[in-house]
Amino acid sequence: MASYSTNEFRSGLKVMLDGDPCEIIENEFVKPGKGQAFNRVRLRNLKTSRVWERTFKSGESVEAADVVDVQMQYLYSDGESWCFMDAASFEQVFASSAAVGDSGKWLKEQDTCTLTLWDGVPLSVSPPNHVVLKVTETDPGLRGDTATGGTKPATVETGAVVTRVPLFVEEGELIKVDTRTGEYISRAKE
Amino acid sequence: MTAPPGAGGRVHRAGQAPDVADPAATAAEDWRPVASPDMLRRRARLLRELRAFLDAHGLYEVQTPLLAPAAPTDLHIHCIGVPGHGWLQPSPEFAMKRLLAAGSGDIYQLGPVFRAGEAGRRHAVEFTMLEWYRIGMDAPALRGEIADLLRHLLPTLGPPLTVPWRSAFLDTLGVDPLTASAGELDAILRAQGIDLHASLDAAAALDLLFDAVVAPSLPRGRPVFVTAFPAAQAALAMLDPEHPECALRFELFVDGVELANGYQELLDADELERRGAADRAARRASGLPDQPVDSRLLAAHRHGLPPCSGVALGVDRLLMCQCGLEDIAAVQAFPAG
Repeated sequence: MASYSTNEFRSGLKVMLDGDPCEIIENEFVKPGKGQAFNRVRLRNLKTSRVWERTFKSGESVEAADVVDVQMQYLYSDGESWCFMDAASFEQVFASSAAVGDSGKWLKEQDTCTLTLWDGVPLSVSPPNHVVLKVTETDPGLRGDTATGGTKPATVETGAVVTRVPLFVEEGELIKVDTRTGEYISRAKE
Repeated sequence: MTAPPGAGGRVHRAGQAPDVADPAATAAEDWRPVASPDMLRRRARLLRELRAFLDAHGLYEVQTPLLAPAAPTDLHIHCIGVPGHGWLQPSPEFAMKRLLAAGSGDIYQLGPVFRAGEAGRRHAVEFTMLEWYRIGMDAPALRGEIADLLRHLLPTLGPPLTVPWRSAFLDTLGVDPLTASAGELDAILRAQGIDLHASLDAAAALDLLFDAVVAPSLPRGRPVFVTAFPAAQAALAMLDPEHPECALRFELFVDGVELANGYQELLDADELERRGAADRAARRASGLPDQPVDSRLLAAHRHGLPPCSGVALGVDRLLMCQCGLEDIAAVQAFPAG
């Protein structure tokens, strides 16, 4: 397996630390006047999402992590595992609920998501930034009520609740949601 | 597993650095300088003021080669070799000392220096150094002159403070750096929340503690001179004749940032040779490439260096200090990387 020396450290680099795949999020070079140089590094453990700090002597090296980000299509879920497919190779992988995390509430069949794979095993799933989902449940809006700034919650087809949609949004309508914030963006046609 | 074509996804393969956009497109976009025109003017003013100060104090400016056939033997200074030409100089010290030995009188040099592998918020491989030498001045007198310069350039700072290196450790961490074992220092590092990847020997642990804890804890808002570095860290400073376990070496800190390194200069050629040989042995032991001692520097010492003190000051960091900036890239026109 390849390894990286401290002088190759940079944000985004995927390395193995204490047996877990980690991503470097910050790399600070430290060197007193005529002394030994160090790298003080902040890393995100890609399995646990915890942030670690580790100080390396300049010149030390770490094992590279076989971590790849790939685009895959969401196929289906049985509640415990989530099936994704590589549209080119038709290979399928199953992601655990832990790997899917919060993204699960935005996933619609056929959506293209970004999966972080470690040795081929999904560590995390990112949905597309925006999704179009059908509103399955919401209070009826008042006729012609397009001007007021008031909002109401709406449940969408995946079961997720968008807490603030404009009052004019009706059940059965399609809305665009920002998956990063969980907020309503606009009505959608498709 | 490959990304489906046209999916627009970015694939990071094991062993590769993260995605780099098309290099030609990137180069076309990043032609702009990082430092703003206003910063360039402030930098120009600083250079003018540094020269004016030293010229007024009776020194004159010299220019010695950036590229020379020899380099320091220091373990932690990595020089950039240029095949067929020698090394880019990490400091003009060696050439300036040869000038002093030849009767130059008090001189200064202001220009780029190069240190491989140093890149970070306060480090750049190529940076600007101001180095000057005062014949007949001892270290305390030179510190006085440096303090005068700072009063002029950083007028809001309070009066200078002097802290011996050993006291800095005792006051900040309650540990005696001269007697603490690697194990004790390791425990202190852990107590400070510093998680080491691999254990360090005592010297490395002291370096890390100094940079990570001691220096940032030094009093702020005034120049702080850390003095009396241990003999093991003397570099080319002379040892204190009254306390030979200490060297007449000092460093200047402002708000936790090291701005300058100064010595009452080593004059003894035999001692210079001995230190060079010790460095070479340590380099061999660490698997570092050999670095021969500069024979011309040695010869200049044998001829006789006038008793003097000298200081090397980081101009970029001084400008950062003046502008309240944390990143060296902001004060350079075209920072590397």
